[in-house]
Amino acid sequence: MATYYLGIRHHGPGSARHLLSAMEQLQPDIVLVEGPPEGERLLPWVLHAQMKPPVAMLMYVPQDTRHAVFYPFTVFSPEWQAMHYALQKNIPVRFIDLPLAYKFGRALQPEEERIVVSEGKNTSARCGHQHPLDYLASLDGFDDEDEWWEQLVERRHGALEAFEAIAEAMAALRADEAEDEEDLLREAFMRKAIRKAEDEDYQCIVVVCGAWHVPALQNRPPAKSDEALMKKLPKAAVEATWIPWTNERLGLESGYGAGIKSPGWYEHVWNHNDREGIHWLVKTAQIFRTHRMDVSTAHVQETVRLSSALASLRGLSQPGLKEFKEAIQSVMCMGEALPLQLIERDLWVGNQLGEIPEGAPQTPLQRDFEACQKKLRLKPKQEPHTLVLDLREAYDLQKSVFLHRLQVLGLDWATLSDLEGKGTFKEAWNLEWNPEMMIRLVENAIWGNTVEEAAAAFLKHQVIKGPSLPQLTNLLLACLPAELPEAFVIASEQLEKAAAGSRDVQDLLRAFIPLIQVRRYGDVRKTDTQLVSVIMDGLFTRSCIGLPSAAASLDEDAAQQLCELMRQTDQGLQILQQENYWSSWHSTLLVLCDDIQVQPLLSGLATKLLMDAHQLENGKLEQYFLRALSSSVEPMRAAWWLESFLKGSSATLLYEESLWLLVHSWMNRLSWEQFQSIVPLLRRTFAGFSVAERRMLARKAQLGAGGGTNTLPRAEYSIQEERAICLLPVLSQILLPITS
Amino acid sequence: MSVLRQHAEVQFASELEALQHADQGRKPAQWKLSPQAVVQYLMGGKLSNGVEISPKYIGSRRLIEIAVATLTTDRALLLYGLPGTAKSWVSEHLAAAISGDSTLLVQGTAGTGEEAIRYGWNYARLLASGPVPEALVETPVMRAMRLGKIVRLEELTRIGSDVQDSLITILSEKTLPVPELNTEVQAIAGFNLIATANNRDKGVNELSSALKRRFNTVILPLPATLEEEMDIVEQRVHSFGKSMELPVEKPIAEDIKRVVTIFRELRQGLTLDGKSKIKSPSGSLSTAEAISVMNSGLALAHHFGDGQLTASDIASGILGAVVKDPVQDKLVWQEYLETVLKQRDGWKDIYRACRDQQA
Repeated sequence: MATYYLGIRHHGPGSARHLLSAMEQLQPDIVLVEGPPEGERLLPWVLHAQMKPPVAMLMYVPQDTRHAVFYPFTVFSPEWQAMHYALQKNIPVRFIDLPLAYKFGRALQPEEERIVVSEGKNTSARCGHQHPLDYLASLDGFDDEDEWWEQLVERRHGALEAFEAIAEAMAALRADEAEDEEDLLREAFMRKAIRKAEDEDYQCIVVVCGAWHVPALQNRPPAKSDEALMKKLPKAAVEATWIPWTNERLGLESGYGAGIKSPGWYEHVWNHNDREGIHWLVKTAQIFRTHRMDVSTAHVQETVRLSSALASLRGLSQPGLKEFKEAIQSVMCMGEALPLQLIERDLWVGNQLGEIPEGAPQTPLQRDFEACQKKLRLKPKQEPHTLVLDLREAYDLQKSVFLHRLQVLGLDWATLSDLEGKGTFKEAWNLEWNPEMMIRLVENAIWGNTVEEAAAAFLKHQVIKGPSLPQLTNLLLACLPAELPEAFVIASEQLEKAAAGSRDVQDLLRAFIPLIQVRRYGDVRKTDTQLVSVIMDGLFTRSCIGLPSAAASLDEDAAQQLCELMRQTDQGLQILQQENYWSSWHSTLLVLCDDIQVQPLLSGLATKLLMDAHQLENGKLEQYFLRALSSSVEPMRAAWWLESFLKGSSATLLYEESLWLLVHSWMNRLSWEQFQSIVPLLRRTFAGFSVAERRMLARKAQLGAGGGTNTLPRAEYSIQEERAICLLPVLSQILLPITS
Repeated sequence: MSVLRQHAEVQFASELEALQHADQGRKPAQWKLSPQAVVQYLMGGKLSNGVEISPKYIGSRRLIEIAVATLTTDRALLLYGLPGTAKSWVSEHLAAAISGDSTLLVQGTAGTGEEAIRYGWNYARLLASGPVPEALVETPVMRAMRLGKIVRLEELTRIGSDVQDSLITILSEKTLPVPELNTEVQAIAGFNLIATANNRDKGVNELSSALKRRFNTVILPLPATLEEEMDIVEQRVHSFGKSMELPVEKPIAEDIKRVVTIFRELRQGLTLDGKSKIKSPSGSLSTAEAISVMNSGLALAHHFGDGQLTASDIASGILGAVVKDPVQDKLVWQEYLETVLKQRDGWKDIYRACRDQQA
């Protein structure tokens, strides 16, 4: 009976290669892998034809998904290869690490009750606050661990001796190291599992674990002391599932400690025996070419040569990623570092996205999510892309509903983007998948077993928490495109209640305005517009009542905000064309015009809106004008009024001679100081007009009080009538389309 | 009588010899040292036989390694960077360490002609005896090819494009045809070319892509940290003191720190504490200029003062380095003086000296 310890580096392709050849040599009858025992039930899926790494085991506490750990694997992960080997040969595989039930159990305990405390990263603060391998690397004169390990182990040939050497190095390192408490516990469990396997009479046991743990497993203390460590550990229920992973995420810290920075490179090393890096550099050149950089075959040759020269200068047997990077920068990029970014994501990191076979253990919500994805053919891709949906198509509408539901659940896989030409039956979505979204999804599992159920329950939960009026409006609006009718009813009831209690007209209008769109275009989504109109009635009536009192005693900024809301409301009402709304809106505006307490910006706007709607009786306009610009009114207030009234339309001033005269005489009445103080305001008002309009106004002003609009100064010479008549047909052709 | 400035291979002859002695590595053809030893010569360090090698380049070892590795291949090396980032300095020392000879040098200017790069004629001989080998005037490039040495080409981008392109054959086919004599000079192993060019100057002649392809480029950056820059200035100031026979007695590290601080702040447009933004003057304010400010300060103190370096000795140098444009830069400098230097504790003397200089 023999037990072999293969100390590996997580995600090291060289480790994986050594491991495979060592296994071939040893022919073990059981394989023990560093990993949480909860993951064992996921093992059968490893060999599944549809399983495509990178994938990760996700272990979580169902009640509290903040406690979750990932164990990512990619094709060149030694653990993955070990599992594969064992499963193919039909020999047992066991996960021997500290069960997560205990790990989470400890984490879930209140702070003071915790017996042994050391949470989070399990490989930090060693060797003088250094990662152990980093420490060895720096002793050997390398910049970082990755580089050192790559040169020393990963890219070297010869298997079993390598493992022995690693074990020795680690033993030396650990001899004078303070031990991490969690490590001790984990190793106690690993030893226990090894003892168990030995007791079961396996003849050749292979233990695959992080190199750091090897010495602690080789030199085993008596079983009793291990048992003592394991006593009285709190437990938590743990669920395990497979989720797809990405190369980018392999760089992150996970259950296997720190990640790797360049999975793309390691994958290349795993797949190709590319000692000189020719294949790698050709790939690099191709990517540069797609970005329109001139990189010729000669460049590649020179890069190969320079990287080899660098390697031999540094006493390395072959160039590593660092040498390639420097040679690429020097030869292909003219010394500039910036172009390297072009290849970083695509090549060094890589875009791979894993896949999980159907039917692998998952939460019901996940399963439903994937079923929907499949039904709607919305496969997750890591690269961002855009999806344009036509909501008149049933299939696209379903997609839209699905994506909206995900948004409700807080999964930001898809975000709505503005579409040019804003048709209401089209939606553009930006999609970018990120495996961490799976956690959000798993977190949401408490709300229901399908995406629809969960979204509805989640919304209801939020609505009932009693948010403010604008928040409620947002929630209500979220219900519509996500087609959650039940939640919509509850949200509208809440909105009604909140509106009744609200005194803020601005909030009421803000809730009202988006509903106009819903009601107008509700039929696209087959929303129940009846319910919407009930809510709208309530909101609108309250707004009209509150408006006059809200419009008094406002400062300029607040008044400007309210103006904007009123403009939007007016536009919305024009779209809606509902008689009862119109009439109450107009009478409210009239109140605003008549009330001298109202902030002049608002009364000016009200006057204008009424004029545009032809709701002012004869002479009323002049009356309001005179009143606003009368001599007792502060020039600043008059200017505000004028600004609001004129905003967006110069025509009134150009063509209504009587109004022009009023403005003219008001201006003449101003003293020099008064004029100076309101000039900036007037300037702002007139800056909104087009150049042509301003030119016409200026010309009119030049002519003084009596200047007619169209009577431009007639030239001295007389017009020859016969010749002028010749022009008329042409002129009429030009002008006719305008007037008709 | 001694020469004003020794060539690198003369000044550091003992170091080179020691390196040669200790050198275990494999030497490429015609190289005096192995690539590893060349890197060590530039970066400094202690040899196995106890000899201390002074660092010639203070900065990233990586860059020097790339430069040396390039020279072991048959590609030429282009050192690129702002003025005063030690491009010529590095190229001189590389040539000295590799070929033991840094004198094969062509200074590129707008007026550099083909005859300065390929070969010229001694016209008296040419007229007297026609095109004979004796009438040919060799250029440093031709000599380097014949001897298998490193030739240096300063300010490559100042040379006109048509003349630059005459390098293409030399660099790719390693031969220099002389059609007049119906012969050619073929480079022997060990020949290579180090060119320098700066990327700040306006009106430079961009390299043609055919020529670019013959070079590996290494960009020499400005010193990354205050300490690194102070090291450089200190080292160069001391060696200047030695060669000019100026006694550098009093600890001048504090003054170096102040000059370097002023330069770095103005260059970055930000005070070192990162708190206030300032305007940057038009000049490049390189480390080389900081060195010359210190040197001229020392000379002033020695010849016109009492030998003690004072704030006013360096103030004039600083002013000259910062104010390159008499209108714009002067405003920038005044603003810096009044808003930053004035408030700084312990900088009163330098503030006053600078203010007096200006008045």
